[in-house]
Amino acid sequence: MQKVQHSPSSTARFVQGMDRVNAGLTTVCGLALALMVLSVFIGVLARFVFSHTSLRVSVPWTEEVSRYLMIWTVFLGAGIACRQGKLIGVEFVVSTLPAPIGRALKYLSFLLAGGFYVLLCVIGLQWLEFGQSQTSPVLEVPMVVINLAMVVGGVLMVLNTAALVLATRLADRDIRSAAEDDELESAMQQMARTRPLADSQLNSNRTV
Amino acid sequence: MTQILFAGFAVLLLLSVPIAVTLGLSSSIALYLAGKPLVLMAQSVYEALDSFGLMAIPFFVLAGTLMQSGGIAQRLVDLANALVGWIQGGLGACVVLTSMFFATMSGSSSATTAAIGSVLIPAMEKKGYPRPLAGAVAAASGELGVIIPPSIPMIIYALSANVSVADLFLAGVIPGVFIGISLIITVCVVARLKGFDAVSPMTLGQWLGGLLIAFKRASLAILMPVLILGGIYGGLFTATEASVIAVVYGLFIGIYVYKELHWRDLLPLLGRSAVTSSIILMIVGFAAIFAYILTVNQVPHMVGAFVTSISKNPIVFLFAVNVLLLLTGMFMETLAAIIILAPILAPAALQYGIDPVHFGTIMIVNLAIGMVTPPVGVNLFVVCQVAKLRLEQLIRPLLVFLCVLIIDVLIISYVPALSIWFR
Repeated sequence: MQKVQHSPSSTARFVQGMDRVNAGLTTVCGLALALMVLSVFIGVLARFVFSHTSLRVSVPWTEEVSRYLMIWTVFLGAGIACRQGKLIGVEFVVSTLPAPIGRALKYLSFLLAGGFYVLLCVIGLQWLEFGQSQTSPVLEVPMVVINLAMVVGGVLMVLNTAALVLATRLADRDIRSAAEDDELESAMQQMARTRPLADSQLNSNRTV
Repeated sequence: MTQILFAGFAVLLLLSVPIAVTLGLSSSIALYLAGKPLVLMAQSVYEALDSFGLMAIPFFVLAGTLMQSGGIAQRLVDLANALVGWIQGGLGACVVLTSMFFATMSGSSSATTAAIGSVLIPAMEKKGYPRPLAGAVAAASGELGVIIPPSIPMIIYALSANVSVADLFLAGVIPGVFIGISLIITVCVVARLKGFDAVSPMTLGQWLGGLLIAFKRASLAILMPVLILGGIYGGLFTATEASVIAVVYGLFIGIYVYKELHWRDLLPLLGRSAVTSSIILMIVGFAAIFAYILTVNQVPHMVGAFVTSISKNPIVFLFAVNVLLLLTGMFMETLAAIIILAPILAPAALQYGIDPVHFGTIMIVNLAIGMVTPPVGVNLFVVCQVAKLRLEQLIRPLLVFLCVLIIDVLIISYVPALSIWFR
């Protein structure tokens, strides 16, 4: 049995590469969200403003565009979220059990999740075939374009889950705390920027 | 088929597999063993996500994030402090009140807890509150984030129980205010008994003057929920339309009025909101196939028949549901609990003559308490991180608030008029 030699740099390169892909895709998701806002807002405007004038403009495409953008955003966004282990799970058992057992279970859970993401790709490919002859009702976009999101998302989830496990091992961190909660951190950063409450108010109360 | 589904679900959940994967994987196993095509999963995930109503979730997430960075939170804290800062226990009351204001812009309870807790827990400590008590106040009032509209769990309940999101939003207003007031009273009583955060004497004129200044500074922020809820109540727009108006409004005052938000911050903020929403919507999508398998196997029907065979009395039923939901909330993640339980319990409730909108409020309020109870309580985790506390330290000061919240949930359960006042 010969062990395949992975030079550490190739692992690190993979993780870095994924992070670059994720940064790009996060921007794509952000833009998609902006487009969703824009098209739904146009729909609202059309309903309120145009319906009160003699112009009868109907914009049925706004709903369709935004719904399909949302489907793509969900699969890409979930794929990105896998890199930080942000898909919510119940960590209670794993963190309560003795460390070696907890760690083993956590690896098992990554393996199961990874397996599911592979399954998602396979099912996604079947789903592509289903949409082959269909087009969307308003814009007549081939449904394949929309159904593709599941396959792409699945691939991204597999790769990012691998990247998370590898990066955690590389940094020699406990696998059980691989997840990063950056929603909380960003909320705290935002609030740290605002001035700490009421130091002045507290003092003025005392002097009154 | 359902036994396999539930067994798979429980095992995977305990293994800390992400909820979305737990739902999807246990459903795939059940489908595979029943000889059904797995592509059914893709179909129902797509059907669930291909929804205009669901789009309110990313929009409200985005609106909440805009509000956090747009200088609005600070103004809300100042307004709440001007209103109740002079009472004994006023700062604790201010935490509750700020959470209530914040909840009118945010649909999530962990975001509310994080935002309010990080500023006000240190302030409370300075005024003599023991830190664990300060944390308990922030955690307990954070649950208002999902009770006072907009609320992400409410959108999900509405879609899975087939009721109007707008109705559910309106139904949350009075219970939210009611819970808020009960928490304010509790904080003030605790402060008086323990003797900290003393009264600061103030003339009526001073109070009004301070209030007026704070109100003027915060008026544009306060106007938004009025606009949105008013529009929904008046039937002017749907919840999704309201959510997009909230985004545009938040953007406008953040950039042009308060000038604390810049165009260059926008793209990272959008990306972050998109990813956060994807995490939520992923659960929604895969819960759809889970719920589909339950429905095909007539589980809701069987549960309904079983429950009605035990008691025909709606009071007993509601009590049993409260206990079930409180226990579920202690261990389960809220959104998944709603998607699995709403299609099962709402039809049963209807047989007892309980309005599905009222039942939705009961469910949300119960599960919201679950966010403040160990062992699995989002708000507690957030507070522990923000205030550098251990979970055990929070439990004792939390008990009194939990008792109040449980009394609140019972009152909300047995007085439907609080929820369906607008009918």
